[in-house]
Amino acid sequence: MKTLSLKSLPAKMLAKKYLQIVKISWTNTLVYRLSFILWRLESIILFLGTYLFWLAVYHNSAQISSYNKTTMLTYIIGILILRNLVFSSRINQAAEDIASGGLNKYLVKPMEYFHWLIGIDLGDKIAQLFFLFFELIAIFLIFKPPFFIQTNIAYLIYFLISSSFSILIYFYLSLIISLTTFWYPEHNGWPQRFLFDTMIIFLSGGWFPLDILPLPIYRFLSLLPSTYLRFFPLKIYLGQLELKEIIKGLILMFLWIIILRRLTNFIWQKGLKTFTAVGI
Amino acid sequence: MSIIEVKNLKKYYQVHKKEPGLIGSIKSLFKREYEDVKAVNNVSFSIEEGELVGFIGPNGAGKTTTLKCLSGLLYPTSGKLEVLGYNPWDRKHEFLKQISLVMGQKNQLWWDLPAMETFILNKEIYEVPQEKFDHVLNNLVDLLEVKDVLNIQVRKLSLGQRMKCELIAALLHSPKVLFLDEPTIGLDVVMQKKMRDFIKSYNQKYKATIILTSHYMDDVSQLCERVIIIDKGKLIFDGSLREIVEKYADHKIIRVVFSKAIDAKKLEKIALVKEYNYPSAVLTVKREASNVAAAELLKNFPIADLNIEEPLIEDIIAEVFTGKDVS
Repeated sequence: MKTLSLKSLPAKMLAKKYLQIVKISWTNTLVYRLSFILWRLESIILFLGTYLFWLAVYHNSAQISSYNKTTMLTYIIGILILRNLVFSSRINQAAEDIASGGLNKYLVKPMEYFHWLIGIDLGDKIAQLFFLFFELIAIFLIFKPPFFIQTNIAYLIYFLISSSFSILIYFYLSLIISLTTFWYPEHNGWPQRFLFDTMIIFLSGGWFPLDILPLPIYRFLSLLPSTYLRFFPLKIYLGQLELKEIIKGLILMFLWIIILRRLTNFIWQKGLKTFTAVGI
Repeated sequence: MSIIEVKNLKKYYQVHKKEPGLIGSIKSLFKREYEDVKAVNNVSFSIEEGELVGFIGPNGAGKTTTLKCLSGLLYPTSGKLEVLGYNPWDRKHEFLKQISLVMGQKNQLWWDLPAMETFILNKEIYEVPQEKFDHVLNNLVDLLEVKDVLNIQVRKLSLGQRMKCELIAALLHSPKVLFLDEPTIGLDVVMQKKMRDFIKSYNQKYKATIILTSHYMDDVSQLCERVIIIDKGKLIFDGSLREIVEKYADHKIIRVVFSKAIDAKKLEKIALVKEYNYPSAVLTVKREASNVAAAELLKNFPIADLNIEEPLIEDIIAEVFTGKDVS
């Protein structure tokens, strides 16, 4: 049965396939200018909201939990960057494809649908990061935020590893949400997507670092995959975790990736069997 | 060996029933009642290499569902399917590279991009070598006369241009088996004919096996030697068009033009009057009685013109569907 194996193709062919998919992704991005601009705008507004809030809070206090003004504002900027790197708006496409029957056109092709999504997502991430780069320049010019620069190479490497794991975890989580459309196709799966998007901002530490919460709650959240999407990599970047905690976190992330990947394939196979391909 | 083998195929859908109105909606929120729809119910047939088979039936008969099962989109409820020696549901890449599914009402072209982008994408996905791609593309573009529209956004194309491009996208990898679901839907008469000619020539040139569904009898009667008729999920006929006529058309049609006014009631003694609009009338008679009836007419009425015709294939099939005994 189908899995996410990439082994079946020679690397060059695969690269050409992906390149073409990435190109289609870009052209689509340029065609759907409005939704692209809105997604960027949402990103900036979320950032400004949290940034200005925390700026105001630090007006009166120098330290909250383990964060001073610099580390907190660095954290908030980090949240913005990881949103663009880890999160993705393109996996929603799967829900629409399933609900509208557009999935057909991918299924009859000698290609894995998930590979297609990866390609589209990759193209999208590159485009988002490209624009983010300019937005960051503007942010630094306008707000001149204090920014913590990590100089310890080891932390930076762990940060990069955990961020790449985050990309995978988000991919599977988001895909699972999209796949529920097989059973709940109302409004192209928008209700469950909306709930997911709202919760994931909070649960990934988008409003504030999760460790300012009471310890029992924080401990519980540490078991969930969402905590590792943004909060955990940023904690590493800020140098606030011990090596033991980092390794423990990375192992947990790895386990989540395996679980979510299995779950995704399982739901996908189940879903395809109930798929009615729309219209008799 | 047959290319397509279908044995006792069944595909049931579960759909939930909802009573009309707000109360019905609220009820269905708490308790959903499901109902099995037997979209395809125990259908068997086999198709040899190079055959061009027409699949006909009224809306909701199960034609598209069958095609979707054959191309691996739908998981059959039960039964055995084999296409090119593969089980379609496995969706093996070697299998998918040899087939194509074109649905007249769904498009695979990227709506916001020029058709050419989709073609190039398909080239990569189907791993078509550049030379072969150029050759096949040029060929198709010439045949279908769409050279000028390849670089225009698909959303700006006319329906006919779009269907042609759809067909090109589906044929770039030179599939051996082609499933065409209403390929001429919404096209004007001229375009329909072009499409038909093209399908015919593709079938002959590449020895491709083609199953085609259509609402237009012309498509089927001009293209397909063999037709399979299904209705309410059941196969009710499989054979040549000629056989349908022999089997189901137990009557012939006599068209008469009278030279003087006549008493229409008298006509009914000779044949069943379908239409009478002086000076012309359309009568139907039992096949074997047609000569006698014609002679009677000529003898007893002032006739300017008389023709004995086979009934239209549409009408025969309509009769097949509207509950005449067909077993």
